[in-house]
Parts: sequence; structure tokens; C-alpha cells
Amino acid sequence: MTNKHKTNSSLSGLILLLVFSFLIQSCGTQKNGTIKIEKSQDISIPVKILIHKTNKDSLYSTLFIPIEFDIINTLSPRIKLSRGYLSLRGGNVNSSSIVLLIRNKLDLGFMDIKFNKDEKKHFKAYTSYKLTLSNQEKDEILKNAKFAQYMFTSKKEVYDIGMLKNMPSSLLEKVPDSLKGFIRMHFYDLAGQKNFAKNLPVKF
Amino acid sequence: MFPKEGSTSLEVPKPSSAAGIISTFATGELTWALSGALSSLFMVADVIATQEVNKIMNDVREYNYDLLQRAKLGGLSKLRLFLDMTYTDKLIGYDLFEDIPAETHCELMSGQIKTYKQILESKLDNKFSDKYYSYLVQIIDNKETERTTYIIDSIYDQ
Repeated sequence: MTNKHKTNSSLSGLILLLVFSFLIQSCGTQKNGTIKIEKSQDISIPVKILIHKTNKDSLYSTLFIPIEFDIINTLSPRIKLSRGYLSLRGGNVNSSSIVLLIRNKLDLGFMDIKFNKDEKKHFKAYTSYKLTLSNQEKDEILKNAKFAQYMFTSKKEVYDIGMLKNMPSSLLEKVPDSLKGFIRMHFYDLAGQKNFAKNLPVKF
Repeated sequence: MFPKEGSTSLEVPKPSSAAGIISTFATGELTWALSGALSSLFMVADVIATQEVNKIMNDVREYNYDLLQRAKLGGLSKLRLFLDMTYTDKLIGYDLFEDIPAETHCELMSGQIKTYKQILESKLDNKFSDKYYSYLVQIIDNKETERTTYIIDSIYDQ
């Protein structure tokens, strides 16, 4: 009778352990580290403008809006940021590229960036928007502009036009909220062989 | 609305991972013996489960590929919606590259552009184009070489 009682209690104990272990497993992902993306409130880099074409009454340009953020890896010993892009319409829709500011020059290197465990990297990046400016707007915006660089292969001119907080609201309003989109980042955990994705909404 | 974050891998947990946790908490001789026996059973279950899951996942991938072929025939807006609403990127690795200017398209088709970075450069240089295209691209990540290959599957006139 005592032995039977012992067996029963051991079995019920094992069932409890099984249930408990499955509970632990299901909560396991919350216990693990993560990839944190922290957006900086203070923007230290200027707004830029790329001049495509000057017409008689207008200017075709690309407006580069700065965004600064930190990516912190507490998830795994080795993580790779496979690719990142600006998406306007959904997770798998690549609408535009993210441009980084590296050594004060625009660079399209927002891909294949590796992170070690607990490593934090600060990104100075730009999202880009197509913009047509009237001559009057052009004169106002380019009044205090400073030449920054020539663009990649086309050698079109890029100018710094001041800090985001000093930009006239009329210029920023030219980009409607529906076109601001979000930065979609795809990560690959090299140690755990898992893919992850993160979104960073663009607001200005 | 933003798409879902977090894991984009479709992984099924292995039964053996539960065995390790049980043995950690096991006390008493009988529980030890049972957890030992269960560990072996979990290992066998692991092999069977992996085989079965692989079969099911292959079927799901094939089905998703068929759905993608149908969505492709529905035009760009239907394809966009399909890619946003399904797990196509995780299952068979397809993305849509939008707003490819005609100039970039010509350079790519004539072999002047060979890398993904060159596409991005050309795209930025030619933002004001008379015509734009969208590419449905299959992205293949080679885990060993850590190299990514982009295969253009279809081209859409925007």
C-alpha cells in the first residue's frame, strides 16, 4: 500500500514536472535577451538635399531626413543586420533605401553589419523623399545651404540645409504622414540560426 | 499598421528540449529513472517529429509557392497585399523591390549593375524618372558563406 502510494505520488509529480517544463518552454522566449532599438531624441546631423535637376520654375530634389538610433544586442553572441530598408506599404515591400552617414559622407552600407553580445552601435541615418520645389521655396531653402558632397556615380550635388528642428514646417509638410513609412530591419542570429525583424517608425 | 516584429523563422520546438528541463527538476529515484527513460523517448520523438515537420513544411512551402504564382497573375497591388499578409518571406524568401527607375532597370538588364548596393545607388541617383518598375525578388541567404543572392523573379510596370 505504501509502495503504491509512493508510485502514485511520483507519477503525479512527474506529470506536474511535465506541465511545468512546457510552461517554462512556452515562456522561454520572454526570458531571453532581445535586439533593442532606441531612437535618439537629439539629432546631431543636418538635413540634406540632393539636387537632381533645375528647371526654369522648379527644382527636382531628394530630401534626406535624419534619424539617429542605437541597436543593442542582448540576444545572442553574434547577430547580423542582414538588410534594412524604408517600407511604405508592408513588411516585405522595399520602397527606399536607408542611407547612413559615415565619416561625414552618405553611404549605402545599412546591410551585413555584425554585433557581438551586449554590443551597442549608434547609427546616423537618413530616409529619403522625392521633392519638387518652386523657385521661391528653392531660394529660401538653399539660402544658407552648405555644399556637402557629390552623390555616388552621378556626381549630383548634395547640400546641408540646417538642423531638423530649424526646418520650416512648410518643407517638412511636403512629405505626408502616409509616405513617411517605417524602417524595417532584418536580423540573423548567427549562433542560434534564427531570423528576426524589427520596425522603427519614421516621425518628423 | 506595421507588420509583425520578432522571429521570422518558422521553427517547431523539438520534443527533446523538454527532457532536459524535466531532469533538472527530477527528485527521487523513481522520478530519476522515469525522466531518464523519458529522455530517450524524447530523443526518438525528436527524430520522428523533425522528419514529419520537414514533410509538412515542404508541403506548406509548395502551397505558398502556388499561392504566390496565383498572386503574381493578379497584378502588382494583389501581389503587394499577398506579400504583406502572408509569411512568404519566411517560407520561400520573396520580397518586393518598389520604385526601380527606368534608368536603373536598363543598367541592370544590360549588365552594368551587378550588386544589390549598385541598384540602391542607381535608385537614389535617378529618383526622378519617367517610368518605374517593381521587382519580385527571391532572397537566398547562404548561412555558411554569409553571402546573400538576389534573384529577380518577375518585373512589373508600375
